[in-house]
Amino acid sequence: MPRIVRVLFTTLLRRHPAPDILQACADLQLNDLENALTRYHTRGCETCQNEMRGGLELLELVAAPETQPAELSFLKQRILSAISASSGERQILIADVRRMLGSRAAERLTEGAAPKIVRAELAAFLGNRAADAFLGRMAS
Amino acid sequence: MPSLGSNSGPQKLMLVAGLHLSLGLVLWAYTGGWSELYGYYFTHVGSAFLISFAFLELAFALRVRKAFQPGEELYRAWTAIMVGAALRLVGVFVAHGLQPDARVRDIGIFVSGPLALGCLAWGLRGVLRLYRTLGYSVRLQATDWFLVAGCAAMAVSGVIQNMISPSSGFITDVLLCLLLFQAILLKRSVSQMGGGLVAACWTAYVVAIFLTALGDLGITLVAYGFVPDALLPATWLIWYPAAASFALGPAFLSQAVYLATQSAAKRQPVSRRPKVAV
Repeated sequence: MPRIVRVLFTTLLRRHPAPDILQACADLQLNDLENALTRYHTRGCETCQNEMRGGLELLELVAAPETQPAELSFLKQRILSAISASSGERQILIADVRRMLGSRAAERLTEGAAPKIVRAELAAFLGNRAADAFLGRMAS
Repeated sequence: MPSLGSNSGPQKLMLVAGLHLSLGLVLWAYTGGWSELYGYYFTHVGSAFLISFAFLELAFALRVRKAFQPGEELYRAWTAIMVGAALRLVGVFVAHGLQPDARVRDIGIFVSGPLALGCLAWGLRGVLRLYRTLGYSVRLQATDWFLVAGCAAMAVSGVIQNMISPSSGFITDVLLCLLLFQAILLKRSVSQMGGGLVAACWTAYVVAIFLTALGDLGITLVAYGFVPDALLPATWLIWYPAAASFALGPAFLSQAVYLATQSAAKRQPVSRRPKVAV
C-alpha cells in the first residue's frame, strides 16, 4: 500500500476510531482495509460514510497503475483538505450538540453514533423544525 | 434590554439581574435596613424590574412555543408555560405597576401567584413525561424525600392556617409543594444530560421554583414575627432572582433553538467530498 494512503487514513481514523480499520492500516493489508472501509461505510454516521466513500474512491485511484506521481501529490492535497474540512465541521457540530443537549449526547456522536440517534432528543426538546434544520446541516 | 433574536439573551438577562440585585444589596448595606432611597428602589426600580422580566419571560416563552408544532410532545407544555407567563405579567403589572389599593393588589398577586404557578405545574408535567420517555427517569434519593416532606409540611400548615383565617395563600402553598416535587424530579433528570442549554432551561425553572418557595416561606416567617427588622429586605430581594430565573428558562431554550436554526444558516457550507477526477 502506498505510504500516503496509510498516513492519510491513519490520520482520518484517529479522529473516528474504528479498531478493525486501524488494524488493517497497521497490517498494511489493502484488501482488509478496503473491506473494513466498506463495512464502516455502511454503518458509520453520515459524515463518516461520506469520508469513507471518498476514501474508497481515492484508494482506487491511488492503487491504479496509471496514476502518475504528480497526480498522487494532487490527490494528497485533496484528501488532506477534505479530511480537515470534514473533521472541522464535525467538531463544530459536536460542539453545538454539546451546547444544546449536553455532553451525554455529544459523547454518543464522538463515539461515531449516527446523528439520527440524537435527532429524537433534538426534536423532543427543540421541536421538529429546529431538529430538521440542524440535522439538514449535518447531512449536507 | 436583551434582544430576543440574539444569541446571548440569557447572558444579558443574568447581567441585568445581577446588577439590579447588587444595587439592592449595596443599598441594604449602606442604609442598614430602611431609608427613603431604599423605599424608592423597591417601589419604583424593583417594580420596573419585575414587570420587565415578566414581559421578557412571556416574550421568550412565546418564541419557544413557536418552535413547536401542534401535536409535538412539548407544544402543549410550552402553551401552558406561556399562559402562566402571561398571567404573571398581568398580575405583576396590576400588583406592582399600577400601585393600587390593597384589594386590587391582592387580585394581582393571586393572578401572578396561584394562577401562574398552576399553569407552570401543568407545563412541567409534560416536560417530566418527556424526560421519562427519553429514558431520563429517576428515583428520588433520601435527601429529596426530606425536601418533599418539608414542602408537604408547609402546604399542610397553609391549609390549616386557611381554616383559621381564610385566604388564597394556602393554594400557593399547595401548588408550591407540587412544583417543588416536580422541580426535584426535573433536577435529577436534567443532571443526567451533562449540561447544555436544554438542561440550563429546566435548571432555571428549578431555581425559580425554589426561590419562590423560599420567598413564600419568608412571607410566612415575617407574618409570624420570626424575621428581625434588619433582615426584612432580604425576604423582598429574593423575588428579583426568582423573576430573573423564570425569564431565564425560556431564554436558554430560545438560544438553543436559535443555535440549531439561525446560526446553521449563517455558516459557510464546507465542501467535504474530495474530487476524484484528476
